[in-house]
Amino acid sequence: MTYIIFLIRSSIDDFRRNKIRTFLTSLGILIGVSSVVLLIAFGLGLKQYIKGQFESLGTNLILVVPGKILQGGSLRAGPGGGSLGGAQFDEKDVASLEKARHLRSVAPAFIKTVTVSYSSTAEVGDLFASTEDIIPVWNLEIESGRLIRKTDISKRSKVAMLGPQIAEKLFTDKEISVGKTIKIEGQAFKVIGLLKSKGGSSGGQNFDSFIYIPYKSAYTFNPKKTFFALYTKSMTENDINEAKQEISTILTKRYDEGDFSVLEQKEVLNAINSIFSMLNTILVMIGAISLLVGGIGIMNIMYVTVVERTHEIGIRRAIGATKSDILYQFLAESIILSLIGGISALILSFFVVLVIQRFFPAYIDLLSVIIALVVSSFIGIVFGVFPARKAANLSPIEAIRYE
Amino acid sequence: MKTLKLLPDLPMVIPFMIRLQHIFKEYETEDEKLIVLNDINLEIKKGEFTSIIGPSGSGKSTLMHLLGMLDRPSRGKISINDKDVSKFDDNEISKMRNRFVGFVFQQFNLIPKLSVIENISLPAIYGRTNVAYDPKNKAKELLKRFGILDKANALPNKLSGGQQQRVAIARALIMNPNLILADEPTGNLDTKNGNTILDLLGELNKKDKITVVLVTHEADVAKRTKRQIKIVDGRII
Ligand SMILES: Nc1ncnc2c1ncn2[C@@H]1O[C@H](COP(=O)(O)OP(=O)(O)O)[C@@H](O)[C@H]1O
Ligand SMILES: [Mg+2]
Repeated sequence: MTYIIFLIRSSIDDFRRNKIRTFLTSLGILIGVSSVVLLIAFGLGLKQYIKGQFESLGTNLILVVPGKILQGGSLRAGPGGGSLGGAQFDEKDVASLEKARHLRSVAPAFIKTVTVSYSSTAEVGDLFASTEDIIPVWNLEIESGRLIRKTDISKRSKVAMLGPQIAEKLFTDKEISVGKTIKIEGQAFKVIGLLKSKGGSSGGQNFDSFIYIPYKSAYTFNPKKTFFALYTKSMTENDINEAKQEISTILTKRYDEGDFSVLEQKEVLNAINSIFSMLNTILVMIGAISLLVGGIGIMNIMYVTVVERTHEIGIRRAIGATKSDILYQFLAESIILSLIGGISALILSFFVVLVIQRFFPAYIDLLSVIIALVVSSFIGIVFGVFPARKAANLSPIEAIRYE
Repeated sequence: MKTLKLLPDLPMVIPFMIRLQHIFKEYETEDEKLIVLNDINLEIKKGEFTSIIGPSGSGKSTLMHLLGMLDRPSRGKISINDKDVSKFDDNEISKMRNRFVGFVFQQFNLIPKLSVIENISLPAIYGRTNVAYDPKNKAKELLKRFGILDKANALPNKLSGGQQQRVAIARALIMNPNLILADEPTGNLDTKNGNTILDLLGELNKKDKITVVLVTHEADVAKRTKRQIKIVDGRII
């Protein structure tokens, strides 16, 4: 035990004497381990996000979007992809889908960033124009006031439901928002309801920040009267495939098959997953390269150290250090050097994740901490063992004669 | 970490005797073979105070390194207590150096980044298996005996040459060695400090009953020992 403490203390003493060298040498490990830790943090966040989406939206959600954005579960870029090009959904599509046997709800979605104000407070907010069907589709719940009704749509009522987040921004006390009149791009809308927080769903849509209004009342903001997506729900979780089939059949009467996509929750999440797997691949590559470069850096500096300390090694051998003693000494140094990089990486990642958490539920768990420490120790051993063996195998007499 | 077996078949403690038989040490350079030690036969008995004297380059240091098991001969047999040293592996030899031999060099050879007390206790760390005393206390005792206890926490470069050599002797003594090998210990010291060191080595032999081998090129220094071995061009004469 005293021996291990002796090894650690000697290493740390040496790093104190060479602070800049120590920092630069551990930099590669720092970057490499950070990549690995962030990779795991994103992965965990993604899992959390997917779980949250399923829990808050239900598994029978089906999304209809223009263009062919998905192919075999992966995202396809290029012309016709995304919400550019393809079908332009309008009221007619909503009406025809409402007749579908397998669909319980159909909610069109028009989203626009607008300025919204109450008395002297003005905020930038996201307008979400739809029908009353958005309520069951997104499982929205009322906190106070009332929900949007069918008659609000047909009457083109200038009414709005506020997500708790935007309500908080506009009103000092969000509870008083119901009954007040707000202005959206200068037009007066009466707040009829305050929604409960759906929480947790950072990233993607943030349900809590939307201003929900009847879609017909939004036509002044939406002169083309088109929707960027149609949110639907099948009757049950079991007839989701039939529902998708039915949607396709109905829409192909009007559009080409390639002009729209019918996606279930799973596929949307697959698409998100594929974006993340791309990010992950990049992080893995950065991580692997930095760890390799960092490891080689450690090996290089350790070789230099061995040469610099040849005479010292000779002295230690003369007073009875075995080959193993010398090996352990240098191995301890490379491991600790690498661990300094690993621990710094954990600290750095912690702060990065703290920032990212505002947009995405990434987090660092115990496993990441363990992996960071294991990976850096491993690098320290792998790249430290060659210089350490060189040191151990120096002939004592040659070493002590070395000046 | 595996603990090394403690040289079970070596009744090391008493008597401690080194015998060199037909020892050669040769170095091969590109075009010639340099014979540094040429058929050395020598026996050093327990408790002896011996000097090895000869001109510079005659092979004294080389011989001393062989006696201290820091180096191996090209040919010939070295026995310690009638055990053939060539039979031992590097590990066992390191342990033997650690337990039984203390080196004192002309250049002091202290580790500059370690404090005086750390330098002196270092062999005890490599000794690992518990010694019957606390190395730090023993180190302090030695420093006190040598009159430099106040330097315990100083770095070696803050000490005078004479003080550094006393630290080196303290380090050589920390494991209670049977043999002290001093290679020109006064070579870097003035006469006064040199004499102090030589007195000290004499005292260690007389009082502490430690076998001392003193390597020197100065006849005056060699005179202090009862036995003197003369070496010229790698041969004992
Ligand atoms: N590693 C070596 N390679 C070649 N020659 C060496 C080596 N070590 C010592 N020598 C030579 O051996 C001779 C004796 O050296 P040394 O034992 O140090 O002499 P001394 O201590 O008596 O001055 C010298 O000529 C020296 O150059
Ligand atoms: Mg010499």
